[in-house]
Amino acid sequence: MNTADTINPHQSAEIVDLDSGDTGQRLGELGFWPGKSIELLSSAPFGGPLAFQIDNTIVALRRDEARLIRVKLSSSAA
Amino acid sequence: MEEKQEPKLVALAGVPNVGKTTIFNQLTGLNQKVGNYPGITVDKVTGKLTVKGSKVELVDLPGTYNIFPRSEDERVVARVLCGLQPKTQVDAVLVVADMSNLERGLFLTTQIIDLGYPTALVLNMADQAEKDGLKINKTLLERYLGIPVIATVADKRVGMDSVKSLLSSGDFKVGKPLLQPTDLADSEFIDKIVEITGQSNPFRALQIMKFIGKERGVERELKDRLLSLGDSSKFKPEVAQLEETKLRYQKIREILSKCVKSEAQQEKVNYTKKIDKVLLHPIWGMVIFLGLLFLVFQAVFAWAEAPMNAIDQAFAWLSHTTANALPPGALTDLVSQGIIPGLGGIVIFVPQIALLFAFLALLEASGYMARAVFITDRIMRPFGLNGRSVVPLISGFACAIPAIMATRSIANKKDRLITIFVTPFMSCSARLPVYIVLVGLLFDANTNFFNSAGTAMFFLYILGIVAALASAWAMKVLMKNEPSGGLVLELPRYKWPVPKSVLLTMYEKSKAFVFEAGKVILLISIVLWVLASYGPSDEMAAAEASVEVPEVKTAENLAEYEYQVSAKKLESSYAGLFGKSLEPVLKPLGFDWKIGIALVCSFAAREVFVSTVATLYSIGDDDEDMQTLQEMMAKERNSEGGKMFTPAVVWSLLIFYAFAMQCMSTLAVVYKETKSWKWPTAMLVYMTALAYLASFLAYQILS
Repeated sequence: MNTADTINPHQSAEIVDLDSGDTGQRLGELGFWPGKSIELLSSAPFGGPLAFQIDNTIVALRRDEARLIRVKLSSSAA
Repeated sequence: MEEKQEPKLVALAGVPNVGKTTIFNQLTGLNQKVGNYPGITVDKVTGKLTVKGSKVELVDLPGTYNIFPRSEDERVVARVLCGLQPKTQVDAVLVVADMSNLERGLFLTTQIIDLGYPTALVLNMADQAEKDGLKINKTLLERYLGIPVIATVADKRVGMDSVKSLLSSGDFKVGKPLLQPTDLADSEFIDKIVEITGQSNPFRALQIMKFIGKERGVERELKDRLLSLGDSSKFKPEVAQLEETKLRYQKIREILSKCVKSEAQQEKVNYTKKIDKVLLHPIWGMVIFLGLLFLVFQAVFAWAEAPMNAIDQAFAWLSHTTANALPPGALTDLVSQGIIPGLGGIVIFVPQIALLFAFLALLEASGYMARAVFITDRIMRPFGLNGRSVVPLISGFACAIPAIMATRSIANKKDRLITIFVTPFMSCSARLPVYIVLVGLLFDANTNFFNSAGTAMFFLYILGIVAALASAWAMKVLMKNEPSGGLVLELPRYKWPVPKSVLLTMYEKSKAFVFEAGKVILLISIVLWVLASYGPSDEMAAAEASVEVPEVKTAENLAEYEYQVSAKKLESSYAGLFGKSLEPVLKPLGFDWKIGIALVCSFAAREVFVSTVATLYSIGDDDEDMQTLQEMMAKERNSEGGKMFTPAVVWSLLIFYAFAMQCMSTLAVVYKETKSWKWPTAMLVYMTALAYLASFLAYQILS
């Protein structure tokens, strides 16, 4: 299963599952909820944070946090 | 029945970045008060307003996504809304949500409804929702939630009158609960926690049950009883929370599917994405960030200079005038030499604080601040810091005081403490006069574009940065058991800042500094003044007598005489005696007792070094005399008759000033921000010990 840190820039993915820990839950409350679609808008260089669009907002996560979100990549880059 | 003695207390709640503070500012203007929640380092911001004769008090709760506390901010919200916060018993709640992002907004709103409060919902950014092609059926939403709903565009003051009349009529409604406590736990368990907590609303009781394990500020007995009940019933707070989140989202989605129509899928957050292509660009983003930083730095450093000089002169004049107007005596001296300069020492920081916070407010309100955090996070991470530490650290070049006040934006406690701890290492502007005088002793002035003095200054600034980052890293290692904050950061839409909010931030921050940190600074400066002005009486008299009264009483001679007397008096004052008693300790660094006195007095503020040294070497401390001061220092001899200020001594002194914690204002602010003397004490000890060690090494190697 892919995690959200493996999404390519401008590619979308559907959230499948979240880590059950505290941070994973917090992501859920922020709107990273299974079934939703997210798109990677930009990633900071040298392994810096990632900016995702979810619904109508842009949320930046570190790669460690993005790894807590399991996703299904859409077949082609948007 | 008329029983209105106290104004109603209405809490303003909402998710971050929905314009809640703009609404608060629009409603209350300057009638705001910043106070404390006991035991929590979160400001309690309240404001009053009178609409059509009825008085309402508003409390602006920190922005949160949830009632389940994971940070200090969220803790305040959970405490207040579960009725655990003494003196903040809320009568009604006004929830602010982003109309174009209702799902998250309703998550918080329905939680508050379930807690049983009379509630009303403000849907802000209605213009944006329209642009996004969202049509919201307000009447239907009101019916589903059972509370009044008002649409606003707070930035443009649209809909604010409706909010005001709602506040005056008090027409909040206890809404329809979205979830029942029994959806989440069995009724027997609920009955028990209701009984223990004494809460009338079972949902509130359940909420308290969920976070009681992490809660420190409640009665021991209540906590123990709830925790043992939790153990025996195998209650898992995280599981209950996850269950609630799932159910709540499910129900919210049902409501939204009926109340919201989204027109043909439009490109959302469009212009924001376009701007981000440039501002988050790996290269251009960094270039723009550095450019903006340079501008802020210039402002705080250069633009503040003129008002700071004016304040300096105004207080000097005031002190002089007071001294002449009042009858001479100890009390007059205390006022003119202790209290007035002490007050001046506080007020002089106001231009820097106001300017820095104006810029920070602009960056924050426009949405750029979150981008700055995004692009710098990677650089700060190895040092145990995060992107949010960058702005305070850079601001530290101007002055550590506003910089430390700016660390509030760091949600994680550990990251924030590390940032506060290392910020004073950044070479602040108060070190600059000291550096200029001392570096001037090292090199002959030359006018090359790159001169040695400039290189030495650059080295000192780099030294400060290295010390800050190395200390941050060391603290990260020491505090490895404390949880580090990750980075979950919303990048809000770009928008034009509202000038009124920026001005209010400037005003509030300056006021907070003057009244809170100011009290401590004033107290310490009076103590320092007493120590520097008084000494054992016979020694003071002897000091005064040791100076020859000039035979020809020209103005020049008398001024010279006055200087000599004040120098001798300082030498035999308590501060002077203390300086002398420090000599054995300072000798390994190459310092004599005169430098010792200067170091003691520098504790009021580093730049006091220049005036103290000037007094000790009996000359005025006007800027024009800087050259003469350097000449006097260059001529100064040590006890063996050699040159006192050898390169070894000067470097040792420079390094001491680069590292040592010699700023009581900073310590006062750290105390205010951390609510404990532990951190200021630790900083004082650590930085001074580091300074001592580094100066010792420098002196021993160079001499």
